[in-house]
Amino acid sequence: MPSEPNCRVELLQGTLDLIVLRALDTMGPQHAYGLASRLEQVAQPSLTLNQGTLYPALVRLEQKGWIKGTWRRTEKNREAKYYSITRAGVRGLQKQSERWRRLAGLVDKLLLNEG
Amino acid sequence: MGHVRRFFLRLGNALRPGRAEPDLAREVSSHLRLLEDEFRRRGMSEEQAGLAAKRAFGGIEQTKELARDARSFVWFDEVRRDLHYAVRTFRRSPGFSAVAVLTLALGIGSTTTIFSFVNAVLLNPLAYPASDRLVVVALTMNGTPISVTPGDFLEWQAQNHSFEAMAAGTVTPYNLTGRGEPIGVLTGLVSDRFAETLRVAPQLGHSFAAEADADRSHSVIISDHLWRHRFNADPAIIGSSITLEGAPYTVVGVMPAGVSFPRELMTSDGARTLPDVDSWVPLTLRPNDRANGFLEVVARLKSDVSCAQAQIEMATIQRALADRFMPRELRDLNVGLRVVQMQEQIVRAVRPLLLTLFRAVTLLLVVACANVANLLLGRAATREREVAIRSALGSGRRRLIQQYLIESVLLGALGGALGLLVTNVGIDLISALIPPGTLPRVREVRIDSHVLIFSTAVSVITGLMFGLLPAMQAGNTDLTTTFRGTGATHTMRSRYLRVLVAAEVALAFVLLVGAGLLFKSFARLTSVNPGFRPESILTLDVTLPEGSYPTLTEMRAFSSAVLEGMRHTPAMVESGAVNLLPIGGPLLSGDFTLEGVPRPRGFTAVKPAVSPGYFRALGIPMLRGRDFNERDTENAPGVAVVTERFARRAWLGQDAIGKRLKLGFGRPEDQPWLTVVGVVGDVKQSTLADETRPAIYVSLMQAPQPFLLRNLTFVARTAVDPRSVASLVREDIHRVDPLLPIDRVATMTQLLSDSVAEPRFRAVLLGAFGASAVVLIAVGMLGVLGFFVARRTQEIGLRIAIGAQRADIVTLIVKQALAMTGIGIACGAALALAVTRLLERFLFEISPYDPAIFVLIAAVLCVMSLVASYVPARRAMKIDPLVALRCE
Repeated sequence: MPSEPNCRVELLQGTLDLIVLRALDTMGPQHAYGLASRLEQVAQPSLTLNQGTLYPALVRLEQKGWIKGTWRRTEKNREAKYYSITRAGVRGLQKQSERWRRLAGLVDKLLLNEG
Repeated sequence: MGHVRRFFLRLGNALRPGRAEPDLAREVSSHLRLLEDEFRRRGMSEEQAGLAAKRAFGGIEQTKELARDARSFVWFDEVRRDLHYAVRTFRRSPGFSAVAVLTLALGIGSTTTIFSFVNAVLLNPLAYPASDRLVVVALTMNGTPISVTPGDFLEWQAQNHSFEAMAAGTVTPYNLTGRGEPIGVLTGLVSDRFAETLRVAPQLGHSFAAEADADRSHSVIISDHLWRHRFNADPAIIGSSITLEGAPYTVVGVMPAGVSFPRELMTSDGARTLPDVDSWVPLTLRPNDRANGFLEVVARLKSDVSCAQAQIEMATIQRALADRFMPRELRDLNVGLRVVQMQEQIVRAVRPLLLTLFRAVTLLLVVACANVANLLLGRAATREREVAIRSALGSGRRRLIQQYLIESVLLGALGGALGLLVTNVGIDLISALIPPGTLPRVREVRIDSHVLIFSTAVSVITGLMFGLLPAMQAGNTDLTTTFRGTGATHTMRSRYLRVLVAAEVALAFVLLVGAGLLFKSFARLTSVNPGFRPESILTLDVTLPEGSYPTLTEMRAFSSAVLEGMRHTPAMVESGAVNLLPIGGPLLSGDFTLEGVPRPRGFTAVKPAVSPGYFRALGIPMLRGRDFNERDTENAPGVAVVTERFARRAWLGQDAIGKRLKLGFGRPEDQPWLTVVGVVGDVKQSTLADETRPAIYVSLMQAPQPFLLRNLTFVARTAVDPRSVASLVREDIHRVDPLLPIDRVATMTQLLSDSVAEPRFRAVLLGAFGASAVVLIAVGMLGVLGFFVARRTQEIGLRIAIGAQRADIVTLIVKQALAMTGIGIACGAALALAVTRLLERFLFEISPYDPAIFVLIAAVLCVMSLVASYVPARRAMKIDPLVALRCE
């Protein structure tokens, strides 16, 4: 493997599910490509990601019943699998965001103090 | 919630992989299409857009693999694929797979067979409800078990606080007459609460009525076996009358199968040949009977009392009883009381036999495992390139080891499954082979859930055991050396192979020495001179019932009449009658009085009563004096014939003829003096293994007590095959008493053979294990030497090319074989010296370290290794140096 920075993978593994949920919650149903573009857009220029990396997160979330995928047509009449957030997903998102905020706050505080 | 849902979805996907696969492919390709659209919109060409899309997406296969990983359990999928792969590998080399599976089936199957016996006899609880609360209360005198008197039993019953219920009983042969030919049925004379104590209820009818009931004394409960075989399972039997010992009994109940109280508690050598109990009649116990000990006692512990507590209480009660009732002169006899689990009492005697067999068969299993490990290692050599390629393509060490282990566990499972067939046959075979009466509970042996669990566990464990070494080897494959052709792995591997074969030889050596010792001991036993000539002798046993033969007069008249008839039977050479037939019969050894000399301490004698002609019929040599004759009647002067050993010990070399003695049945003052008129050769009275016991013979006509003649055996020496005159002699008996059942008809050779059936059984079974081990080793050694030759084809070719003789090549191979065998034998001998003493109790007149056997077995194994090296040696000799050197 070429020397891709490891930190990127770690960041994504911890947060990708949350990011995907959040994106679906605010933007409504999206396909994987749409989600990936949205991520790149928001995160630019701090990260570029292989769009395929999203798939495990999508599988995980769908198996948990937090998102639901259906095949539809895009405006340009391409077929694509659109994911939408379920009610369980909304509840999950709230809980996860809360946890994330607490954790992030704690880490922030620690980092400030140490610094 | 989400997690649980996800777990089951993953499990579902793991079990049915590939269902979501098309959807994933479709999604990925639609994703790529959208990306391409985007790149084209930005002005790229078709081609550029395609490449850019793939770049932006990342590795397509990796992505799919990650998605699969999230979707299902990948390890599960791996296992599934490994299994699939293993099956393909087995199919590719069917010969290897067959040998491996058969070897394992033999090893696992034999082990499971013996375990089935251990399980049914030693481990499974008795068939009675809550049988772990059942105990036997037994007395011992100087360590030997003695029976309990009614007086003691009734006191125990009245005084104890440990037991819910107690029961006592004894067995006696009764004659069942009417409704067909008379037969003997072993009858249990049982105390009141025997059914409640054991918690068995008759399957038909009911138990005995209460003590006060007048009908009670002539009630009988019959066994399931008797009901089915004698009365055609007729339910109307309840309430009908049957004739036992000439008296009418009313059938009140039919017991379920499997109840044989109190026969099942009787485990002495004498009781061994007794059949199961077929009827039960109530026994009335006299409280002041303290002289006759004849009862076996069983009790059910109260739920809060342990066996040890009961033991303490009962011992206290018994001590008090002894102080009160035991005659002063008997007090110093060391009487002890034991409370033992009923199961323990029943199986104690056979535990050593079963455990020995189990140990032996475990050795066989280990040999089988080592052998399969060997095969796998040998085959691993041919798979080296495959393994190297797989690891070059990225299979990790863990994956390779996993693959190998899955293969070997699959082999183990196949072997185990086939082994169950072996077990199925094995159980029948051993049950048929086992001498009757040797093993209690033998009818309960079957493949039950414990046996299945055992077999499965053994299969998996052996699979891991023999697979581990080859797997580690595969895991250590070094790519560079493998691709280069030769490497250190080969040397390592062939060293493992040799060590394994040597280990197999060592284990087989132990097994074979065990078998050899048992065979030699058996041969010793059968070559013992019984003191008579057993060929061409027919024996018929009868029991004279008290009803029709109350006194000696009727008994003597009966035997004289039968003998008179037998004298005129065609093909009869000589005939006679005896109350204690040598070999296998009960042994009654007792005291006697010598005229003018005190009886030496510990000098007892067997005292059979015989008819004139008995010695000639059996072929017992008359050394001095004369046989009994027709003039030695009841009213003539008492005479006796003694054995040589008796004469020597009693009169120390003086002539025995004319000396006088008394028999010792009852008080000496009341008995007549008997004059010794003859001396005969010594006879093995109880078993061939037993010491030769001195004997005093009395004339049947002068036997002093009716009980002595209750059991009689007629013996006939015939000019033709003795079995062919059996029906004639039956007629001789039935002409005198048509209603008398004949308990047993057997030839003397048969009885002798039966008496050594158990040692023979042990030797044959261990021999079979040993022989199987030898075959396994031969196969293993063949494989290893074949591997050796294949590996060194070039070297051997070179040797031949530079002038080595064929003989040198053969020497090379044979040396290898003998080296492995030699090391194995040395280790095996050391091991055998340590463990064969476990067999000591089974050996007759030979030491467990018998050097001849050790040497013989070593020779057998050397010969076997020479035979096993024949094929590889021939292949080595045929190596063409040109061909060998050209390859690579």
